[in-house]
Amino acid sequence: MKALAIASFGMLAQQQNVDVLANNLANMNTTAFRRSQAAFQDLVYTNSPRPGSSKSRAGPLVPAGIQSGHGVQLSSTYKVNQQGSLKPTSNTLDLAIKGNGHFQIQLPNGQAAYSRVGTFQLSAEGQIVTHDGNPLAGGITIPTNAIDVSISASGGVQVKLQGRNTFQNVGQIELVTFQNQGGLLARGDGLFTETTSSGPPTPGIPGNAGRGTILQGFLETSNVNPIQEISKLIAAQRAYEMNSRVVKAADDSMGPAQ
Amino acid sequence: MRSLDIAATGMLAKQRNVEVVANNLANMNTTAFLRRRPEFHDLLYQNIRRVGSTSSDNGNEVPTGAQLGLGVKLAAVYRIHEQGNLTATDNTLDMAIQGRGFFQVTLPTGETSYTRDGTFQLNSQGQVVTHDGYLMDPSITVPNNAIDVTINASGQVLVKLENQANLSNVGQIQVAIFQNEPGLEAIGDNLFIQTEASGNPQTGSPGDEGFGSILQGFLETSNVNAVEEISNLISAQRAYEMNSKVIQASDEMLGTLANLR
Repeated sequence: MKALAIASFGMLAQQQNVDVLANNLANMNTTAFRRSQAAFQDLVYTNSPRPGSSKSRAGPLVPAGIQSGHGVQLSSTYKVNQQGSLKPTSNTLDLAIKGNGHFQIQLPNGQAAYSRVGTFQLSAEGQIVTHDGNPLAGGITIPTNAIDVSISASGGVQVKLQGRNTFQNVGQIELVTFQNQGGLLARGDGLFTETTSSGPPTPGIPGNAGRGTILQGFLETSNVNPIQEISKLIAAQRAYEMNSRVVKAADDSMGPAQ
Repeated sequence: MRSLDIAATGMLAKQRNVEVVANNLANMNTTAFLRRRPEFHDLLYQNIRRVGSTSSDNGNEVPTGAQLGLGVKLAAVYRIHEQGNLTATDNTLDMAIQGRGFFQVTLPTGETSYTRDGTFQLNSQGQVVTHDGYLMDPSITVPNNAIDVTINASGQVLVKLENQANLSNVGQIQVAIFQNEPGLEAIGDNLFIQTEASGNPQTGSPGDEGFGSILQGFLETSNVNAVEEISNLISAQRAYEMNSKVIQASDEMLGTLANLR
C-alpha cells in the first residue's frame, strides 16, 4: 500500500512547511530578520513499464510508460534576500544597511560571523560591540570625551570632541559581500557564518562595488510579510488535511482485508 | 510538531515587547526617564540538510540547504540615551543637564549612584538632597541665612546672604560620565549604578570638555515618544495574535492526526 507512505510523506512535508512559517511569524519583529521559504521536491519514481521500452521485439515503443511517484521531501529552506523596511530609532549606534552586505563580527573563538543586525553598543573600553559583547571588526573605539558620533553612508566613523570645531576620524566600518548570500549558515542571534557554498567574504567600503550604504539612527526591520505567511499557513494546513484524507482512505481500503 | 513550540517563543517575545512598551508609557512623565527598546534575535537553527554539503561525489554543493529555525528570543532591552526635552519649573533647586553626564547621589549604603533627575531639595541641615533624602555628592550645604541660590552652567552654587553685596560660593556640583552609558544598571527611583559594562565614572565640572552643562530651574522630561510606543504596541499585539494562529493551526493539525485512527 504505497498510498499510506506517500500521504504520510506529504503530511510530514506540510508539517515542516508550517515549522518554517511559524519561525517567520515568531521573528516578525526581529531586527534585520530575513524570512525563510521552504522548497519541496518530488521523491523517486518507480517505472513499470519504463517510458521508451518496448512490449515485444518488433513492437512499438511505450510512449509514456507508467511512472508512479513516491511522495515529497523538503529540498531546501532559503532566506529571501529582500530589503526590510527601515525604521528610525534615533539611537546613535543603530545602523541599517541599505542594499547588499553584512557587518563583520568577531566571535569569542576568533572566528568571523556576519550580520545585518545593526544595534550596536559600546563596551566599557569604548569599543563598538553587539548586544552579546562581540566586537565589530575593525576595532573601532569611541573616546569617552566624545559628545557626538557620526557615521557616514560610506561607513566612516567620526566623533566630535568637546571644545573642537571639527570632527575627528576614528575608524572605517566595512561591509562584506558573498558570491552566494543564500549559502551562509544561519547560527541564530542574527549571525551567519561562511560555508563553501557562500564563497569567501569580500570586505570593502560601503557604497562601493555593489555594497549597500549605511544609515545611522535606523534599523532594518524583518522582511516577514504577515499576510503572505498567514495565507501560506492556511494552504499548508489544508494540504496537511488532504494528505490525512489519503491516509484515511488507504486505511479504509485495507479495512476489509483484516 | 516544532511549530507549536516556535509559535510559543513568538508569543512570549511579543509579550515581553508589550511589557517594555507598557513600562515606557507608564514612565512617560517621569523626570529624565530614558525609553527602553527590546531587541529580538532568532534562535538557533536545525540543519535538515546542511548548506555547503555535497549532493554527489563529483562535488555538487547544496547552495542553500534546509535550515529550520526554532523561534525567537529576547536578546536585550536597552536604554536610548537621547536628551529629553527641558521644561521650565522656576524651582531654585531643579536642575537639568544639557549634554552628557549624571549627578552623583550617595545611597544610604555609602555607594554612589548616578541620576539625570535634577529635582533636588534641601534637608533640615541645609544639605542638597534627592526626594528620598539621599545626599548629593560632593555634598553641598546652603546656609540658613541665604536669601537666594544661583547655580550657574558650570555647576558653581552661589548664594546671596543677607546684608552682603556679593554672592558667595558654597560648592561645586560635579557630574560623572561613562564610556558606555547604556551599560549602567537601573535600580529604580531614577537612579543608576555602575557596572563592568559601563566602565568607571569620570567626574568633572559641568561644561568642561565632554561634560554637559547645568541649567537651573529646568527639568529634563522623559524621552518617551508616545506615537512610537503606541505603534509598537499595535504591531506587537498583532504579531502576538498571528503567533496564536500558528498555535491554533498546529493544534488543528494534531487533531487531524489524532482522528486518523
